[in-house]
Amino acid sequence: MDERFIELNRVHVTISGKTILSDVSFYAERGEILAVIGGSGAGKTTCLRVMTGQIRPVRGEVRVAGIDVVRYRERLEHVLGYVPQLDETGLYYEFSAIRNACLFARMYGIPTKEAERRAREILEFLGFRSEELMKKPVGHLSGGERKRVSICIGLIHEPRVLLLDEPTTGLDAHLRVDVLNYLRNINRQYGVTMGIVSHDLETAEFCDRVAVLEKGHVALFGNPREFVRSIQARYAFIASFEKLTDNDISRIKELRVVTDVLPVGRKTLKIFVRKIEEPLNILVDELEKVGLTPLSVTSSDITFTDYFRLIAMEKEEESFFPRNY
Amino acid sequence: MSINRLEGSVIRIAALIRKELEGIIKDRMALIVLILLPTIITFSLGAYQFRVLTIADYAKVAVINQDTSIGDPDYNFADEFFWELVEKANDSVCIVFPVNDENIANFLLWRGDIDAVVIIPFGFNSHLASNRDPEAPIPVPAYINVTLDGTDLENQGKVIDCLTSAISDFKIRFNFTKDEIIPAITAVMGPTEEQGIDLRVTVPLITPLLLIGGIMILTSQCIVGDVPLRRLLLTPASKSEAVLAKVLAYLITAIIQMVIIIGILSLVYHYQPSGSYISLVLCLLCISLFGITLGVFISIISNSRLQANQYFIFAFLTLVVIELAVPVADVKNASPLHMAREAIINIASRGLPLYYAMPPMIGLLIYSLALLAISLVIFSVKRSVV
Repeated sequence: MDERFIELNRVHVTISGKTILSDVSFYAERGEILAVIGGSGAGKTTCLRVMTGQIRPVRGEVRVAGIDVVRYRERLEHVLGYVPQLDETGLYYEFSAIRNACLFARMYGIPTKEAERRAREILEFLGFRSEELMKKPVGHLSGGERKRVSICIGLIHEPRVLLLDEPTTGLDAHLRVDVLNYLRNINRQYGVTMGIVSHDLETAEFCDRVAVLEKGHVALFGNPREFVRSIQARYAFIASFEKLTDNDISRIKELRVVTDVLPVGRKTLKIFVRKIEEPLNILVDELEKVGLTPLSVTSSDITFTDYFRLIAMEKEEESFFPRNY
Repeated sequence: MSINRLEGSVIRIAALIRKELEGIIKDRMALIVLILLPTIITFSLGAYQFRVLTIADYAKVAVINQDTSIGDPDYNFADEFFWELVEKANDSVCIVFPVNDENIANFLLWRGDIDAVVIIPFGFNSHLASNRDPEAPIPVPAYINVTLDGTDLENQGKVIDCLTSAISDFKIRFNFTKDEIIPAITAVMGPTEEQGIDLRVTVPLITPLLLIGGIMILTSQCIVGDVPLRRLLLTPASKSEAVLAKVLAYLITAIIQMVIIIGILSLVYHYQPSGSYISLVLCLLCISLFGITLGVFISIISNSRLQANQYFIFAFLTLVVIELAVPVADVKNASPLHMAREAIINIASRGLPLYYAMPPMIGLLIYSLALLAISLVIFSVKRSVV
């Protein structure tokens, strides 16, 4: 039987009379990665604070690793790991990675030697290959390295659930992917259930479930791959043009093989194509027929981000997410 | 419509002034510092004029009349001088009372229970009587021996004022016109040449300021500035554990401060406390503990590092002003900085054994424990989220 390791059931939170979360429900089963995604003010950080027991909901049920968080918050400490958004709020910059990890481990009563062994194991797993890096003051490490130290601290007491607040915020694109890959690997290696709060739709690609929040409500909840499969298109291509007007985009949208079009640059489109034989050749032929010969066309994946942008466009709800999504 | 450079500058400055004022009005701490601090200081400075004197304000003078000599048949000058002192005492904010035993009087002076011992020695009567003889060519001075508490400059002034007025009126009353009465004044436990005159005065004042201020400036940042502490509190570590750990850690740093202070004083300036070093260290620990707990309290009630700095300056200035500028003894005696000073004077200057020097130290401990308890309560209810 599947076991729900993170579960919010009809959670309602008000702060200073203002409703922050309203009937929020989502869950993740044991060993899964759950992404809670939303724009600014959507209530995702509040969700995280509810899960960590820092905020008590007015009503609703919150369970983490089977523990009723509202009633037994103190039992949560040993089963829950937490990685805050800003590294400076969770790391002592003057201490090394090992020293930070050992300090937090001591809070759980883990003997110093065992703490150091665990810290080294996790840090090595997270790509800290040299002793020098492990013993460098955290303040001297790069943003990505600091984030990994913070993740190491979250894992030092071998929690059953790891909650992460915006783990990719402030990182370069390649570091974002690195961190998410490390998280996926940790999930596989240690079997830790994860809850990742993020404003970044890209995060959902790495997750087993995604809950999209909008203004304190769950707008969407499910498996991101299933969402992607639910759209009509089966192929996606990135096409660049010499020039591109709104009228050109409308004409491309009307092509027989095209299901949807998303602008991805000033003169670049992501074109979604229905299930057909030799989709690339047919697409190029059809584009040439309407006088829009592309400079280049490359194959691409259909992602959860595409799915989300498409449904947002359909609903014409710009508030759903910021424009840059 | 275009505006010239000056107008533009004025507009910008006005807008910035408005922004600053709005900021101050919205910042409760800034308002407290702005209004409460000058209010306290001004009231304190003016309090002297309207104060109600209590027993604590009076300098206590024990008078021992040892004179049994025969003098003028109509007057006993020793008794008359005692009553002259009694009469002048109130105007000089002194209390004069007779004591029979010189040892008891000196013991009380040593403990700080009284501020001066005046001895009217044998021969006072006879010497003054001989001076009344119009044939006597040279006056034979009648001495009075005065021993003052050298650690208390304020009360020294009161005692000397009382003595001078009494001698002056006494001379007028009995038609003495020359130096017939000479007070031989000795200040004890205060500055001596061997011990360094300045240090004897400054150590009891500067050391508590150094210890309390030095440790407070650190501890006032210790909770509000420890941002990762919030993450630590998501572990099994509790808030009370965190606070106690900080107090103990800073107590260790206070010991280092003490070693530095005592080391410099004794090695560089050859300063020797009159009491034992162990008593002095215990006394300094009490003072440091007060500074630590006050700093921790400030750190817990502050919402930002800046606010903690403001609270620190406010608290420290208040302590200093009460010690230096408030002439009301009851207020002063309740001030922790005054207690700290008293504690150091008792041990380092008077050389009192720990038992006798305890009252101000106990006062400091009570303040410290109260601050710690209040801090723990506030911290436990204060919401902190990561």
